Amino acid sequence: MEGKSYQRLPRVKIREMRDDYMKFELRDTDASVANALRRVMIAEVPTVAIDLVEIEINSSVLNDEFIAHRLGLIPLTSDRAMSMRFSRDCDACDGDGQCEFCSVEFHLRAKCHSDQTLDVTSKDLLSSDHTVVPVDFSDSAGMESSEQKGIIIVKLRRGQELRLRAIARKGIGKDHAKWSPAATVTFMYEPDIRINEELMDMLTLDEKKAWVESSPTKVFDFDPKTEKVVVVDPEAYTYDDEVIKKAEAMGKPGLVDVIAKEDSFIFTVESTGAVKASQLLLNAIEVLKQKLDAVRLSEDTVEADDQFGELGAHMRGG
Amino acid sequence: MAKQTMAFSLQALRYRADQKLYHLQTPQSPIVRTSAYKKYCMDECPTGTNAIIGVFHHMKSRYDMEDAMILNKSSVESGMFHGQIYQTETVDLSDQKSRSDGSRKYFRESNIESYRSIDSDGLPCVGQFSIHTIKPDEEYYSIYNEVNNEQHAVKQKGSEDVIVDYVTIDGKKHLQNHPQKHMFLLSGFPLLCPFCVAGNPVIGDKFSSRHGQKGVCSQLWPDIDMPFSEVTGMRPDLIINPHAFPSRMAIGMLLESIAAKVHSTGMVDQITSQPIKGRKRGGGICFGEIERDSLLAHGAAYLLHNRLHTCSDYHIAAVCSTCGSILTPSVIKPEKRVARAVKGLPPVRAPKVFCHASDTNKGMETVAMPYVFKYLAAELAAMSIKMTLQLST
Amino acid sequence: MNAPDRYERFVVPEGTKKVSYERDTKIINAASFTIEREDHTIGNILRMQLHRDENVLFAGYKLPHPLQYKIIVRIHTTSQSSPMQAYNQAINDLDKELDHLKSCFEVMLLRWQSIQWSTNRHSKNCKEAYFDKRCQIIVVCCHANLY
Repeated sequence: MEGKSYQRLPRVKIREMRDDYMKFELRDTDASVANALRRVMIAEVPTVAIDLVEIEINSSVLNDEFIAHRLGLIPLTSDRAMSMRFSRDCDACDGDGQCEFCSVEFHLRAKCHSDQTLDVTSKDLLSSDHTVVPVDFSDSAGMESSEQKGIIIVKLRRGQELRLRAIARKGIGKDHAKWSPAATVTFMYEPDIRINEELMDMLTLDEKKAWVESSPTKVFDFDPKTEKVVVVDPEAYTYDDEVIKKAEAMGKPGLVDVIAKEDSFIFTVESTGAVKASQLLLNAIEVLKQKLDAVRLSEDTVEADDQFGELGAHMRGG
Repeated sequence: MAKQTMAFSLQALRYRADQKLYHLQTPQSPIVRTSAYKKYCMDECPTGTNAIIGVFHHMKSRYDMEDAMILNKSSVESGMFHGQIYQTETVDLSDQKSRSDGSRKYFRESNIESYRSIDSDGLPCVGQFSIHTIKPDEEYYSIYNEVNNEQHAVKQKGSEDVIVDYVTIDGKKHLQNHPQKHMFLLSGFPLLCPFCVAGNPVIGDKFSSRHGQKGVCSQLWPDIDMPFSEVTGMRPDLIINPHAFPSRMAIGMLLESIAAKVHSTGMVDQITSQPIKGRKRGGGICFGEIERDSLLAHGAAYLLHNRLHTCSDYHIAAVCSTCGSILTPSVIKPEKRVARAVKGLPPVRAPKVFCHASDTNKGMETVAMPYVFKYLAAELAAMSIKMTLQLST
Repeated sequence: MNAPDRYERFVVPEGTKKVSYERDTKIINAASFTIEREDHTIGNILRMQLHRDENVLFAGYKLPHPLQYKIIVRIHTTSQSSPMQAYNQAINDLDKELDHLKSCFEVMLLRWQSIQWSTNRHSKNCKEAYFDKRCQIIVVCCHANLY
């Protein structure tokens, strides 16, 4: 029953990469695969996030629910999440979510003793597992490591106190946005911009400049030496059609031709820090593979159909 | 503005005991503001949040007809439009004392039955115990009567789950009532329990721009199913229908009103038996005067009849053709079957209608009418105005 | 109040099959597959992959209702194939495509890292230069695996 294969061989090229940011090209596949990757990266790659909070003392200005919600949104390093268990599937603890396979415990104790406001941050969360800790942003660019203190949870004045215990669990973004490892995942069709040089030469210098100016983003530039219009950054084009309308208004329709290449995509991935951007893509591919595996037909369905098929053939033949 | 909406209307929340208070969790200063905004120091008590809005017809969802809107599920989960509703419940045991036998009452935990939300002192547990909130009709404090040795637990009256923020003694009221007494035990003291109801967005909540362009949330739509910007990856926080913008006379709007035809299965008003207003009480979307006029303008008389009568307070009343009154005819309650059997009468078939004014049961006609019409007749009768109906075929 | 639980979106209820197959009663070689607790992610890639199959006459999917967390994939093939065969083939092809994508990305990742290290070599010590060399060797190995 092995049929002909229609498999594609997609190509990837990394353009830019940092721990929490990645830009890459994806070629030789279609929008459905690109979009599936985007959707899985946002909603189905698992991470660990605080899910249960037991508040012992809270005399801060924020109420318990607010603090619990804020704690849930703090990104935790989740490199281990792929191999962790969902607490509802965990055999070791019957889904109570307090065992090493499916949960991590956090403690927070903070009290303000001085007249200065005390910032309670994600750094004050003490983890029971060194692999799952609040994401540290101190090494990211633009911030001095000494001044970076983590994510502020609440501010305390003199005498106010916050004491709590929290349980972090594995989850996916489809369940709740706090489990989403991606701040942003987006892709665009790679634009193919061609200027009709013949028509362009018919324009005066001022017209050329005006036409270049009509684009809201810097896609084209006017080279004063050669007196030609050149495409400087095709990806800055936002498919807004402004330059096409401008060309029509100038009486030169067809001055520029913009085609979206339907098999080439430029991806931008921004991670919350829970997993590295590159790992996020790898995890997404893995999750998508697992999902595909799960939708394979089960043996009994195939068997039932085979019998039905024989019967059908028999009936058709008779 | 700050009072009506979910806003940040005050800063001393901890020390207030308002009857009802809507409090926005994460208020923001608007991106665009007038000069008066600064003059009135609106940033001290902001009235809303900024949101990324998509204005388009989200056809796939079919959930954006009328003035409905779709919220981004992930945005809501990240805290957008979250808030709390604070309510204060005052319990005054001295009030209850004076009304009854003069016995002394205390807050005390029941020793017969234990309740989930009642603490060992008979007062409600502060905060959420485990993950349980206080459900409607759940006992949340218990009172012990010293004299007759009776105990009883009081139930939560509201219709939503609540969490007790704190329990305190209403000192002012206490001093007025008992100036000579010191605080001892928790007997006879008025108590305040500010309740906190989670006011997070759910389907059916209403959202408005600052220009009164409002809509009802019809779906929490997954973030991944939302459109996104190719360059920045931005997704809308909420989507509104472009039909909300042009004049309300738009024919597309009318067509959608018909499509949005909500079946009358909701709750009805006690007096008029018409569908009630307001989401909280289980009511539907109002079909009002403007909608009526637009239907009249299109000559859709049957639809109008259906909307305002059949689906509303359709009622069949008996009218006495002799005196023309709809109030005097009344259904004679047939005697109970046992009573009839004793008297040797056959079992009842149809209930009989009898007019008290004409003293007859003949000439009774049934007429379909809105129930409010009967109510109107009753109101007029109360003002000594008689309303008569002339029946013709 | 009566909102479905959050987990309903992705947890297949007990006693329910993940994929159920229903043959069309009127048309030969047509069938619909009901996939529980899946959405556009799976539906769209399956549909587009099925469109590449020349024996597939029709392939489409729908999400019947936003609160019913399932999709229905409908396939109609020529007599050369069958809906089930086309369905399995599409999954296999996508699986292989993702395998290829993964190995391709891993190669690119290592190449990128080695470039980063070699540009930083001047400022770093010898130890990291050693890592750089080792990394390039891995790149070569991966290439061998790939082709």
